[in-house]
Amino acid sequence: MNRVRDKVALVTGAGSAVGRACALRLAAEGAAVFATDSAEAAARATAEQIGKSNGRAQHAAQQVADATGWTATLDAVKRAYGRLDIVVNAAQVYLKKSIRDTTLADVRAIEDTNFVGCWLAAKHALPMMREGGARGSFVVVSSVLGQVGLADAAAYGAIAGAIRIFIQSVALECGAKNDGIRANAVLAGPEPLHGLSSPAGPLALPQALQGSAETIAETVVYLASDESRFVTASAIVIDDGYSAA
Amino acid sequence: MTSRVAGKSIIVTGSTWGIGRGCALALAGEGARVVITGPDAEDEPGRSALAEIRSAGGEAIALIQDVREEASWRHVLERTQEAFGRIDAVINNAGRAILKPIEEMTLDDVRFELTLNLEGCFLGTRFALERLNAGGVVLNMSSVAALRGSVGSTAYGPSKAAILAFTRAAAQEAIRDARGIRVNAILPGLIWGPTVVMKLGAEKANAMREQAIARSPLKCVGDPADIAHLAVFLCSDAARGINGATLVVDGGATI
Repeated sequence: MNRVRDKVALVTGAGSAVGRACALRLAAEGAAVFATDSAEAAARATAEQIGKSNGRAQHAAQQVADATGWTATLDAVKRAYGRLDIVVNAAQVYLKKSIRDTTLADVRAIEDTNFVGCWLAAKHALPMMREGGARGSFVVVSSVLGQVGLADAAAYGAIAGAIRIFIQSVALECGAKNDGIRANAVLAGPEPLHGLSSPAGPLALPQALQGSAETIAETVVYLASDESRFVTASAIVIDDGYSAA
Repeated sequence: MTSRVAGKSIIVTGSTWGIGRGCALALAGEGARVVITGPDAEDEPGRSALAEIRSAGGEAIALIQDVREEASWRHVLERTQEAFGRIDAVINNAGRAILKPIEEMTLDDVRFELTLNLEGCFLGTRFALERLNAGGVVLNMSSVAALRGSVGSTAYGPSKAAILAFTRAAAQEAIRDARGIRVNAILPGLIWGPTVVMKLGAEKANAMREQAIARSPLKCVGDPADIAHLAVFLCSDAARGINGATLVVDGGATI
């Protein structure tokens, strides 16, 4: 199991179900993982779980929408592993509210974690990935609700749509620098992204939108590995046919 | 040899050369029992693909097939069942690109494209939905020509675009059938190899290559292995939940 051997991966939101699954699978395939989460204990639990399986992992608390925090996180990655090859942006918040009930503060919170967090990751982490000179991979775990609308998910869906375009721009900017870094998105349904821990409680969504953290993690391994060396600016949808209907 | 699709019996149409051959080799390398098909499956191309798989310790058979013919499909399905006792995935890869400006295209050319590229895929999917083991996979080979127009692609592009619409509909029928079968499509960009030059001629092939490299942020063309890696993933149980999806593998050239 060495599909990402000798690579260093930073996983944000690594204390959540999806982020943790990504971190565990990357470590199982040979990557050294740096796990961050806004809740330090959750990030630590992920790193400890990897350690118990003889994987390599470190952790830190991180607010992804905080620019200074990114500098500190990347310094820590450098001290720990000396390089960075893979960034998996799995930090995400979900909001289930009608437009009428959504406040501007709600919208800002979605923007900050789901979009600004990725934007800062690209701004700060890509230069460090370039230093390593290896084939880098930048992955955002987002939602298929950026491609198809859903009632009571307007703010979340709109930002997921923004991510889809953002990833194309990142791919093009990396192309212009000829740095070999690829940028792709994994688009799942909101259920696997947030599961029962969603503050809004269980979501009234079609069965088809369920999918699993494990499949998201498997897809992230594919996109992080050199198996996908010809894949950039792309999105892989994991929704059991929901958005195809 | 690893075993991400161990024990699965997988039919790959048009797999004596190019992308299909790459998929057959990679799937066999991951433990699948592979059925190589093509009109030339019993000639040198089929024999050498078979030999390559077997010398690496893989398991495969090669069968002559015309994917446009129902009888030919029945023959392949029966022989697969006899050889491996089950069918877990069908990769509808057989296809051909007739690339000529519309004034040079004949109605026969258009019918050929629709018959081979779309109807072949239709028959493969129909038989697959009927006969695949639970949890099976149908993988249809579309193309980025389904997303972007180009000179000479007035029939090839539409035939590949139809495969996308077909795939989404077939996925819904698979969901209705509730046997855990998944139907997805891959859209390759320019996948380079000797067969591209052979089919298109050196001049046209090299012009396409230069254009593809210029358009790709990664400044490269693909290799059959690039499609094969994704095919292995999609055929494996790790891709559970990916259904009705259309996956672009083109070095970012069609943004």
